[in-house]
Amino acid sequence: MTAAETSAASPRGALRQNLLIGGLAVLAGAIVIPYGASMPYIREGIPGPGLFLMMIGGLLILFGLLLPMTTWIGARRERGGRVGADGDADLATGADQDSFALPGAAVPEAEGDVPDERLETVGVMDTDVGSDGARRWINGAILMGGILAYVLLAPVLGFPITMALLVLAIVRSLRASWLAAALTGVLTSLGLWGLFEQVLLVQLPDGLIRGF
Amino acid sequence: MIQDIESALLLVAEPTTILVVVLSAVFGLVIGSLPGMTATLAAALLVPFTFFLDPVPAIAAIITMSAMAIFAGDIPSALLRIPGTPSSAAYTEDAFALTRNGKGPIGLGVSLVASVLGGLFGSVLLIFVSPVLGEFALRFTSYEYFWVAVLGLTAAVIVSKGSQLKGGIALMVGLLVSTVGLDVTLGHPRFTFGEEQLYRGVDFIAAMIGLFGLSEVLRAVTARRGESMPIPKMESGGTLRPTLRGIWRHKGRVGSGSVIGGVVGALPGAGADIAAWIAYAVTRSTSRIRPGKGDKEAADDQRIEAISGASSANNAGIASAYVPTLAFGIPGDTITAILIGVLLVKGITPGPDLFLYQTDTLYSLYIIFIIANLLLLPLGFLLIRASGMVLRIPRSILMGLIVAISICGAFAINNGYLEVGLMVLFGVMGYLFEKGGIPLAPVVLGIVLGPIVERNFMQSVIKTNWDLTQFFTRPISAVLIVLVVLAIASVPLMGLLGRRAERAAAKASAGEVRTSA
Repeated sequence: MTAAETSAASPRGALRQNLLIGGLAVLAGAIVIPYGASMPYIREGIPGPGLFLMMIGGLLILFGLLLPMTTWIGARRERGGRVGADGDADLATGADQDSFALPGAAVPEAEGDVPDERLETVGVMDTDVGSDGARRWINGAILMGGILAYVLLAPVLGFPITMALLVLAIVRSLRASWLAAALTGVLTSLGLWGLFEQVLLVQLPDGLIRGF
Repeated sequence: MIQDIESALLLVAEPTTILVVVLSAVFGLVIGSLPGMTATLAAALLVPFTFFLDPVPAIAAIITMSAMAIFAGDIPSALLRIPGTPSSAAYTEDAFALTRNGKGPIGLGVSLVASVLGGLFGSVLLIFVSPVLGEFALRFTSYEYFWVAVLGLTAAVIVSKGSQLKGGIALMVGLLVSTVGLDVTLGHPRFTFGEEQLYRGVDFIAAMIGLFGLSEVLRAVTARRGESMPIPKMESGGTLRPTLRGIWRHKGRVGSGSVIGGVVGALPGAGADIAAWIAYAVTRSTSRIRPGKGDKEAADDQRIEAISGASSANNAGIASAYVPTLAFGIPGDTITAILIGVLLVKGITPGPDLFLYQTDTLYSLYIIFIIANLLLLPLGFLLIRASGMVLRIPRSILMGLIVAISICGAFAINNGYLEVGLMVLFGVMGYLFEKGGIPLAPVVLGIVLGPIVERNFMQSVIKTNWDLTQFFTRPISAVLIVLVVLAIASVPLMGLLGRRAERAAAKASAGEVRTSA
């Protein structure tokens, strides 16, 4: 669970999050409406290109105002419910959800189920690519910076070299070994180069290898 | 008609189509089995390759892949308690509990056979209902098309998981994106910022690749470190007989799940995920199995019953989501929204014209649906046997591959970097939206339906000189307005069904506790 999710899980966190989302929606609506109004009219009094924009802007403002309001009302109702009937399963609705949301249908464990700790397992899955602390944001920066570098360098270095370097950087940032990262980079790059250039006939940037 | 079917069979029997079906089936099974990788992500990654295929193999790729991926999503549900696709989330707890009790392969087998049966039911529904609706749609004018699109937009917001208001905001964002480019009335540029390349609008495919492909990678690379998960041991030999016995015992649930999936999936904007949740809620809340204290067999049977209902619903929902797509050109879910993009690139306009002028393509689509669902049976059993192996594919390598395919796919749209930039922009947007609990499906539907709503609305008001009563007084429009109202009224009903399922489960659990005390 991410920090955002943890904070959003509490009613106050959900309210803060929805306040931010609602605020951004209202701001977007407030920008879109005058932009739409500034567009030419089909004839006097009959809006044209701006009409749809103004309608969208109006609805953005409406939804943006309603979101934090309903969250606040939901949180208050939940707090009241907890005080009135502590432990009542019916009242265990998240403050993040509005009252009509489809609830999760989690099923309680039945008596006699084999407990998790007695579960016989066969191996450890390599799905955990997560990191701790600043490393997460460095990984994000490697990904976004890598794509930007690809756009800038591909016309110069060519697709195969640039893409191999990009994939290597991403795979390595997710704690794969240098060998695995390098192999993935080279094979992915050559595989896609062959597929797009030779089979699908898409002209990818040649760069240095033009003429080879 | 016979001639059309014959030419459709010839199109489907072409070696390229067969090869594409097999490859996309394997692709769908692998992607669907990986936790967090959705069928929509798989469809978005397939799109760049479909550009270079003929229409029938391109359609075959997306249909086959989605049928496989939705079932494959049950594998990590059963083995890791992580749903592979959102439609598997409804019964993840049941599937994992069965694995824990040594019945994982039976649970997966039941899910597979129920998926196949549900998929075939959905295909039959598609074959018989879509032509009727398509013929009906010939009577539609801009007013009716406007209301059908509004129905789609309403459904997209209503079925948003978590919060309908966030779904509404997401929809407005999608509609706003759809306005980029030259407008339909005066050809005036909107949100183009002087960039001529944006006059043609935001490319839908680049947006899809960003929203579902790149955002997934961004989420993975910025994730916190968790514990590596062991895979439960699973003996998959000799599962066929108990699977078939389970299906026979719960044949009624397979039937009701298929009907729910068929109906819910056909609603514009709903799709297989919602169908699975509703079928699960109905199956649980109306179950007649009452497990007593320590009655493990009955508890497991109840889980198999729930899986039968929900699994049949999600695959039925995939096929029936094509009903509004084919009849009106309105996407039933995110996958059909992507398919509409592919069809338009191929010069095929989904809607009534398909039933008049491109019947061989239409019949090919029907045949592919049946083939894909039948192919799921053997391939699904193979996947159950090989499930542990598939789950060990390193995520780091997979993430590198997704980025590479996403960049190539976005670049291939117009052989330029604008689409790569748009993909990155939408990737960041998808990441932020998911962090804020804002659903992505309404964004997609907003982008697809936005031009339809605006064009039909503007056409209607201009031709009647702003006589808005025309929108409400035409008979078909009136029916569509009633459907929109019913869709809005269904919101409390869905909430009620879900709460009933929770209450039934809580009551059963409380009963067990009391008995044991």
